[in-house]
Amino acid sequence: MFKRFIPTIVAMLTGLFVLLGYLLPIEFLGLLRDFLLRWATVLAVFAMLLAFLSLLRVHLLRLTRVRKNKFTSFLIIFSALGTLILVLAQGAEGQGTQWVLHKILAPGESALLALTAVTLIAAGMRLMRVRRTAGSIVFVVTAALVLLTTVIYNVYPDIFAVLRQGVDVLTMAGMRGLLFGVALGGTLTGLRVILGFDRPHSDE
Amino acid sequence: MNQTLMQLLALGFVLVAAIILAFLGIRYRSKTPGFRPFPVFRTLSDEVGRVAEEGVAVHVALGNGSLIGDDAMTSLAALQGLQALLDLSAAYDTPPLITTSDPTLYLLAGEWLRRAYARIGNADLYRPASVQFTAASPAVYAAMTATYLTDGGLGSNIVLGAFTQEASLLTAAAERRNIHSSGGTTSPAGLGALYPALGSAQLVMGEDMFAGSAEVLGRSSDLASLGTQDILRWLVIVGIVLTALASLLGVGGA
Repeated sequence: MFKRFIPTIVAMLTGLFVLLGYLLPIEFLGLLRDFLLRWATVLAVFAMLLAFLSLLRVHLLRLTRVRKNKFTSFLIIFSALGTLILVLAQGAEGQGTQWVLHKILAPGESALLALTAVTLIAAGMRLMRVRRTAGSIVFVVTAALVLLTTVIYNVYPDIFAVLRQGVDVLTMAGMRGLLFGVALGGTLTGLRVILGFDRPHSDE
Repeated sequence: MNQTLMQLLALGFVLVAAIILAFLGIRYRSKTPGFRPFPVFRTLSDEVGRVAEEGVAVHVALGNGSLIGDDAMTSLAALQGLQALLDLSAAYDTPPLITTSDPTLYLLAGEWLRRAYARIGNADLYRPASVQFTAASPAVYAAMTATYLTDGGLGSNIVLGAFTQEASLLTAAAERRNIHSSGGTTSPAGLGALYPALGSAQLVMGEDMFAGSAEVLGRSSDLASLGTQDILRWLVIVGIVLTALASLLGVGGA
């Protein structure tokens, strides 16, 4: 009974206080909200530690058991432990830590995100080859219009000014519609937890 | 409009939502309503049987939605939509490979899979390595998970949760190995990346992400949530039209 009800009551009350902290202009509720969010952040740090240990364990197992990509696993373990030692020795603002962040991590991530442009173009071309539906045609035309009104617009702003205005309005309307729906869905999923209908933290 | 008024309006909106949710929850206990179908969620669990026959596993990418961030509800909705898949995987003892780039979601996903095993009395069979934290940043996570897909041993790729354009790295890797992909997300950037790879038949878009539990579990509270979502959507539309009309007529300021 305690295993089921206490986590549920704690989750409901925490959710309710955080929600009221945002929605009611009462100072005490604001302070309570900040306090609870700080706790959540501390818990997230512990979660990060567990996740880090899990990452090491998975790749140590891959080194000993899996035949493929052993070098990748070795590289991950080496860089994870190396970075950990560096941060422990110098702190997050240390010179070495900042070097790793700005010279290795940031360029690497930028390169990966640039790669998504290639994978997206490949996926778009495959879409036109494999699935020639009305939706696919609308998608490709939309992508072409966005390309015209962003990249090409910068070269010929006078020619594409009106088209850009039209595309901007349509894009904004579409995105707002999508985000309204997502916000409603998110609100109701949260309410189900606060009202105790859903218990993601414990068994039903 | 000052901040206090905005806060109180938001509170009123949440209260109305809670009242409608409670009312519909009670009503749907005795009478199951009919909603539009969300076939993608139904087919997710079918993947377990299909890949089990091939002797491979399902890969589930849960994305980057932290449980203490803006995408918490998206991640939770994704897990709820995967409930039937997790139960079936536990029953057949063919656990999926679940990957995420958020530590809080990693813990919750692990707990949900463990509970799926515990519900059928096989908690001992749960293998913690079935749920993996792959990397902390979205792009590195997608690239690292893509290597799992190219390694082999996976027969289905489900990309469901909070993603942006990095999702295309996952679908591209799956495509190269002829692995079937499906999934969905809520962000416009993520949908833009997933649509060309999955098409509308295999993609859950935007607010439909939150319909997964109603489609898969069918509990009265899940169905009530879907019904409330539909009612509130119309209220928002009426509100937007009225505000636009008032603005046109010059009533209540600019």
